[in-house]
Parts: sequence; structure tokens; C-alpha cells
Amino acid sequence: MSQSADPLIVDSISETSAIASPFRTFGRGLAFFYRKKTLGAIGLTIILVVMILAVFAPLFSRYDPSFIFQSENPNYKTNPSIMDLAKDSNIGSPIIVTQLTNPDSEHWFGTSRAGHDIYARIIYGTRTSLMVGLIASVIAVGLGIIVGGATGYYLGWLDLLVQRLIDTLQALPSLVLLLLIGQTFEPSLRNVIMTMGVIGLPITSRLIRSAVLALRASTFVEAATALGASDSRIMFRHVLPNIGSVVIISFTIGIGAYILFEATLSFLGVGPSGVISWGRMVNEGRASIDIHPWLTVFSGAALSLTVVAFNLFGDAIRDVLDPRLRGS
Amino acid sequence: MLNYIIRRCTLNIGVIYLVGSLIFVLVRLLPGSFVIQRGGLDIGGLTPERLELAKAELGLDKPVLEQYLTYWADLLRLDFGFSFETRNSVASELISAFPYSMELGIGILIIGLSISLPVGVISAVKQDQWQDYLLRGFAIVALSFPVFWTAALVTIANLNFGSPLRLEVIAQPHLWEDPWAALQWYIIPATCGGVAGTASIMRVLRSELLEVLRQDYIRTARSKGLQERGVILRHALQNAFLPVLTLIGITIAGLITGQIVLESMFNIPGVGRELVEAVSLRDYSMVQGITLVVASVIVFTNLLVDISYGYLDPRVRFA
Repeated sequence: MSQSADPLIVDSISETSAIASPFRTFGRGLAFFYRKKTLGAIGLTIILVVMILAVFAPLFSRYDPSFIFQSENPNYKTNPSIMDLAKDSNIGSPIIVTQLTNPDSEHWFGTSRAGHDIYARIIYGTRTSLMVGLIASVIAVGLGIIVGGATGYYLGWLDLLVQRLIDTLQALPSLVLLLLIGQTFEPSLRNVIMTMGVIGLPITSRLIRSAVLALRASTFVEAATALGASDSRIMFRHVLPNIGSVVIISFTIGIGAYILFEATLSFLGVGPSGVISWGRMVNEGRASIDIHPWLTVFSGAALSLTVVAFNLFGDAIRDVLDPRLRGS
Repeated sequence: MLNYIIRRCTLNIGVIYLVGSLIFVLVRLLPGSFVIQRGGLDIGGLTPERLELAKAELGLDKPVLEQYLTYWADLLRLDFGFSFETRNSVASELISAFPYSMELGIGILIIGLSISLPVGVISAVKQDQWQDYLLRGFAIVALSFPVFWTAALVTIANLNFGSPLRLEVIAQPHLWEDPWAALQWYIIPATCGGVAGTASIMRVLRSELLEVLRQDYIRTARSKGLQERGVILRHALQNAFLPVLTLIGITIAGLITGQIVLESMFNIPGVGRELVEAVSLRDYSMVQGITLVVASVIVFTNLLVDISYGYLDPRVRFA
């Protein structure tokens, strides 16, 4: 397309066709992204794979993640003596839980102490991690837009007061806050996600506040004010559309951090209850790490790979949308 | 300048007041109480009379408002109360826990800085060359790998390949008591924490340095024939270092106030582990005391960093 006699005409043509088909520009944008941002593209590919695994978990998991595998006891003895039982407490039962097996063709990643298939649990763990990362980041950014937008636009006493509250939130170590809130309310997935979103508020609201502050001083906002536009018009028509890149950046960068955060909580035993969590699996594996390191190794690897992918993608998105923030 | 410091200090005191009040409410919202967590284990179980007696002993029988006022009245005299569990004063508990956290924190800082500073400089100087990509990849990995997993991997390696490092230490020695044993004890958690912490410092240093290296005075320094080494180390680094210093300041505040995950994993009786224990025991005054001290350290370190900014960089003006 660049080898044309009149580049202007070609450009205008391609622009009209782009309007006609948004998928084409999206596809071209994606192709550009894959060509220019190799690392980000690798991240995006991993993210897509993880998303597919999460959505179609039953298709990939091979087994039910909560099924307890059992097998015949090779050492089974009818009427064992007390001496036998002292050596092996399971000797009297004909069927035992298939626990702590090493990876083989039947159980790709082995089985856990409880007799679960580790591979199946890791596949289902994608659901928890993705849900936590995406929803917590949406909450943090959503609250950040409201709080950061309002304080950055109106300033004055509102700004002073809210900033101090945010200072308070930030001065409390986030793990402490989650520890307390997680034990106060029922540590359900919903509550943990909401708390994490609130804990992310200081960071997102500061970013958005400073973006709004910069826009507030710009000439086009001044022009709109001079024309008599109302506050809400300026905010929704002039300011909000221009903080899009900050919003997208803090959203994508947040996802990996929240996934890691949830895993840390679950590792410490205060994460969401009733869900399959990679962080908790890493901790469970530590109990028998000397004879059976597989649970810790595989669940931690899945977690790390996912977080790396989101961070690679987030970095690339930031480079594309806001070159000034490069590398920070 | 003095006005600025006074204003910031006043605001900080306000923040600390909010933190103290918030934590006072939050610990009391926790289900269960210390008396129930602990008293039920005593011989004879928990009779209503004993419950009342224990509550009275801990001052929990009074109305919440009265508890709140006593709490602040005591705090104003720098009295954090006593730990429900050990019956020692919270201050003395903190004094015994802080050195452990600080030793670990200093170890993490030394290892973290000795990796992140050279890595950040090399990555900026070799921008977009293979060294840069390699080191940035390393930073992303360091940022993403959860520290509890890397620490667990090191434990596995330690178990399977046999190493002289001791993971189970019963004596819990301080560096000044038994340096060799303490080093063996701290080296793994400090390395894991240090590597995990390199990413942010390295990335900020890199981007700052890149910005500075494009400025005119760097070109002047080069054109007057200075060695590249001198240009980078003496001229560029000095100006690129300020934001890094801010970050280091914040990192230090976080480090000396305890590493919850590493301390729990490696059985280090520091502030972080004390806090987790206090929360699970519903030891109100310990949770309040630790949180307040941690929050004060963080808030005032930030102030100190901001003030030092003005001294180090004359361009910064305080409004």
C-alpha cells in the first residue's frame, strides 16, 4: 500500500474501508502488535490459552478436580495385628486413597495428599485466578475513575479530605487490611475480590487524578469552560475520553498483581474459601515437599506463567498507548 | 520549607489518627475474641463467670467508647498496652521482634540493590540490545514469580541436592550473637526477597537513566572527551538517581516493618509473623500496636524522602 503514486488518496481509501469494517482495523492492529511487540504478543498468546482453559475447563481437565482417586491396597491384610497397624495404619483397609503419586500417564502431574488429580485442579485453578484478576482490576479502576476523577476535577476540600483517606488506606499494609477484612466477613471469593479492589484504589485513583489534573489545565478544557459548558459536560465529553489510555494501562497492569495477591493470601491461608486456588495448592504441597514436590512445583509454575503473561502484555500495552511511561 | 514540613507533619498525624481508629474498629469487628480463642483451652472450659473475669482482666468488659478513649489516652503517652497472649507490653514485644525483621530487611535490601543497580544501568546503556532484552525479561520474571514459590523451590533444591544451608533453625540467632548461623538462616529468605524486589528499582532506574542520557549536558560531557564510564557513573547516574532514591526509601519502610510471607515460611519471629499470629489470636492491642508503628514508619519515611528530595535536587520547590 505504501508503493502508490499518491499516498494521500490511498490513505483516505483505507480509512473509509476501515470505518466500514472495524474487524479489519482490529485485525490489523493485532497483526501490528504481534509484529512489533514480540514479548507482549507472547504474553497475549498465553493469556488467550489460559482463558480458553478456564472457559472450557471440563473439556481439558480429564478428571473431576474434586474426585478422590482410590486404588486397591497392595499391602492389604485381613485381621492385621497391632504391630502391622503401627507400621502402616492403612493396612486393614482393602481400598486406599491414591495419594502423593508421581506424575505418570494416568495422572499427568501426579495426585495430591487428598487423592485429587493435580492436573485437573490446576486447570480449574485458572478460573479462580482469572476471575480474581479481572474483576478486582475492574473494581479498582472503576472506583479509581470515580474517586480520582472527582478529586482531580473539583479539588478543594473534597480533594484534601479524600486524599487523606487514601493516605490512610495506603499506610495500612495491604496484607494487614486483607487479613483483617478476610477474617471479619466470610472469606468468600466475592468478598476477597471486593476487598482487593478497594485496596487497589489508592494506586488507580492517584494515577487517574493526576491525568485529570493535567487535562484540567489543558487549553481545550479551558475553551470548553469559556464556552459555558457545564461541569458534567466537560467531565464526560472532554476529560473522560482522554484518560482512556491511563485507564486501560492501570487495568491491564493490575490484573497480574491481583492474581499474585490472591495467591499470596491463599498461601497464607486467608484467601477465598471454597475455590480451587493455586496459592493454596503451593502451600498444601509444602507439607510433603520432601517426598512429593509436584503439587508445589506445578501449581506455582502455572501461577507464575500466568502472571508473567499478564505483566508482559501489560508492559506492551503501556508502551503502545503511552510511550512516556516506558519502562516505569 | 519549615512551613511545608509543619503542614506535612500535621497531615501525617491526621493520617495516623485515622489509621489508629480504623484498626481499632477493624480488630473489634473480627468474629470471636481472645478470651474465646484462648480461654476455651483452659482446664475446666469456658464458664460464663470465667469469661467475665477474663474480659475484665483485659479491659474488654467496658463500653467500646470507653475502650476507644482509653486507647487514645494511652497512645498519647506512647503506651501501646500489653499483649493479651504473653502479658508483656506491646512495646517490649515489638523491640524483640523488630531486630529479626530488620536483619532480614537489610539482607533483602543489600541483595536487591546489588542486583538492581548494575542491572538497571547496563540495561539503559545497552538499550534495545540483547543485554537489555535479557535483563528486562529477568525483571518481568522477578516481578511475576511469587516469592513464596521461589522460596519453596529453593527449599526443594536444598532438600534434594543437599547443601550446607540450614533451613530449620531452632535457636533463632541474631547476627551479632552467632553471625555464621544467622547468615545460614537468613541467606535463602533474603535472596528470594531481594531478587523479587529488584524489578521495580531496576525498571525505574532504567527509564530515568534513558531520559537523562538524551540530555544536552551528557552530549557536552561526551564531546569534551570524557570516558563513557565517567559520563554515565558521574554525570548521568547522579541525576537519574533521585526517583530511585524515593523508591528505595519506600522499599526500606516496607522492609523494616516486616515481610509477612518470608517470616512465616522461614520461621523468623519478626514483626510480620507476630502480626499474623496476633490477628489469628484476636490479640487486639498487639494488632493495634504493630499496625500503628508500621503505618507511622511508612508515613514518616515518605515525608523524609520528600524532604531529602529538596536538598538533593535544588530544582524542587516546596509549595
